[in-house]
Amino acid sequence: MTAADIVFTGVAKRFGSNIGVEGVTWTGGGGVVGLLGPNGSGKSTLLRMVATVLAPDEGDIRLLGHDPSSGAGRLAIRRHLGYLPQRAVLYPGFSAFDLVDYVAVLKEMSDRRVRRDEVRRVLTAVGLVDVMHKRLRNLSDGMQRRVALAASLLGRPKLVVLDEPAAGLDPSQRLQLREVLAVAGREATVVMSTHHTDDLTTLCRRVLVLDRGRLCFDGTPHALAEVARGRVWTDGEAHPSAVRSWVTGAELVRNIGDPPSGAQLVDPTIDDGYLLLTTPIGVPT
Amino acid sequence: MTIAIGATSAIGWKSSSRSVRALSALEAKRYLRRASIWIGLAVTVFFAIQVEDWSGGSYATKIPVCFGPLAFGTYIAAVKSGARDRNGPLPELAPGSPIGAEGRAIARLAGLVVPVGLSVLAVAVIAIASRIEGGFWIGDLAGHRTDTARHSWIELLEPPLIVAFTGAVGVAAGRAARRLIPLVAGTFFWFVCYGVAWALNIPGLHVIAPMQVQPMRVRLSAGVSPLAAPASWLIERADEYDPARRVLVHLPTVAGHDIYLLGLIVLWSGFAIRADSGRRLAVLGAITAVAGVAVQLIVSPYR
Repeated sequence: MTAADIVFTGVAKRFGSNIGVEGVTWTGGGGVVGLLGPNGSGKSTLLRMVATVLAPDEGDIRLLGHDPSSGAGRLAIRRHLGYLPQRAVLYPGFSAFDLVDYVAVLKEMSDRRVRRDEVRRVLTAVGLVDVMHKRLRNLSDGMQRRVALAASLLGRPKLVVLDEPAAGLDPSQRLQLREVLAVAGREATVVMSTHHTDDLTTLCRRVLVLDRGRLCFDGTPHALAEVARGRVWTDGEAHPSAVRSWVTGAELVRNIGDPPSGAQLVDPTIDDGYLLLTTPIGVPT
Repeated sequence: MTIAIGATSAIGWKSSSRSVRALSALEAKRYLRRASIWIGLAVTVFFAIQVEDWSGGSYATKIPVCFGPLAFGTYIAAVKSGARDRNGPLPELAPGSPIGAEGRAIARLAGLVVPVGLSVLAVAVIAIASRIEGGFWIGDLAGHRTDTARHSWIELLEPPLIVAFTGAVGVAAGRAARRLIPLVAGTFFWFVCYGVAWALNIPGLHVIAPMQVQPMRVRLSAGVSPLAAPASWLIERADEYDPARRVLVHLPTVAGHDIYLLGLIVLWSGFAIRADSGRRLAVLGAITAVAGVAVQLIVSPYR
């Protein structure tokens, strides 16, 4: 795990006339890196490139010191990579154990005894050891998601790429996920996309924000909140100068944007910073 | 919840070929669990113990006709195996793994060792049983019939080759199309190749019939009297459709057909694997299959 496990230089990916990501330059590594962005902002595209399953149209990528555009480099990266896609495909007729065991072989763990110990370890880590012999079709969506997560943690990868790992998990399972990722982040670079900003606060030492394919923020969770410092206020109603307003639980309206004079400023949160960065100016809601 | 992710342990990373072998072992295990293979084997055994009451009937049924159900069961299992990673727009299982689609297809093909092994076992039982019992009946006319015909090892190769061929087609079809399409198409072609196998075994077509049947029947020309035929000839009596005909097990044709089947296996394995290595394999298989057909045409007794 180094500070330069992931190096993106001017990376772009387009799908026909649609922009996936555009001009992304980013060097990262070490601990858990969070990726935030609206739907369609290019998070999954970026993660697929980090996972070596998508090649960029422009720019250079180096992962764990290797070039993924060459077959040998890609193989070298994949031997130390764990990837959980946004919609992970599982084989419903397999038991959880058999499925993770199968993935372990796909990850070149051919020694049967070592492999089975490793499968038990990751299934234990995600709290599924009690149901590991049940067929996947008989497990809940949340459990299936955790099976896929377990598979991505096989072999203690140096680079773990997780596309919305918390999707479909209940609050208790999300807490378990945080524990797992916190431990994984001590020995690997973990890049995860999420819509849960509280996961970022708890887990991440670094946050990236993507908007319409462009990297618009790269810093700590605290720095993301500070983006909105002095631009968040509460009032009795939505203010026309706010780029975003919403009713809080206290029947107050929270506004972000350019505050009017005399506004009651409040401490910003990550949500405020994120919304300020990703809400188009002049499109108040 | 127990968190077991701690200090890094030594997890051995092995070479890809060893990993593909390990994956093949898992795939073989999955084939063992496929009901279609076991049902196919059961129906094959049922047909194998039947006694047919016409010249060459039991000889042809035991090897290779009764193996049609096992071949079809293998095809169904192989389609399901090959189609596992077909998920519409979704990625395959564990994308970004060192073993990609090519290695997975190779493992699914290698796992076919299970149904092929079952067919070898069944063939061995038939061969041994027929030798203990004395052999099969071919020919009708006195002095021109035998009750001790036994399958040669070249003929005994045909059932395992057919099972391997249908398995390779299944893996390739499963990778190429949604599961329902190859199952429907496979059922149709199986009916053509097995249900009406006799239709594909008429002179000319017999060289490309996946399930080639022995003994072969060669119509005697008008001037040849069956009774004046050499003593080594086996003759079937004439019926309203056919004058007297010589009936023989023609080993050169069988050998050519085995080469043809081997070529088809390699060809369809290439289709299943795809990529550059798959394409090279497909070309090699096509050449081998054509060579097998050529051998059969050159040595054909239908002259």
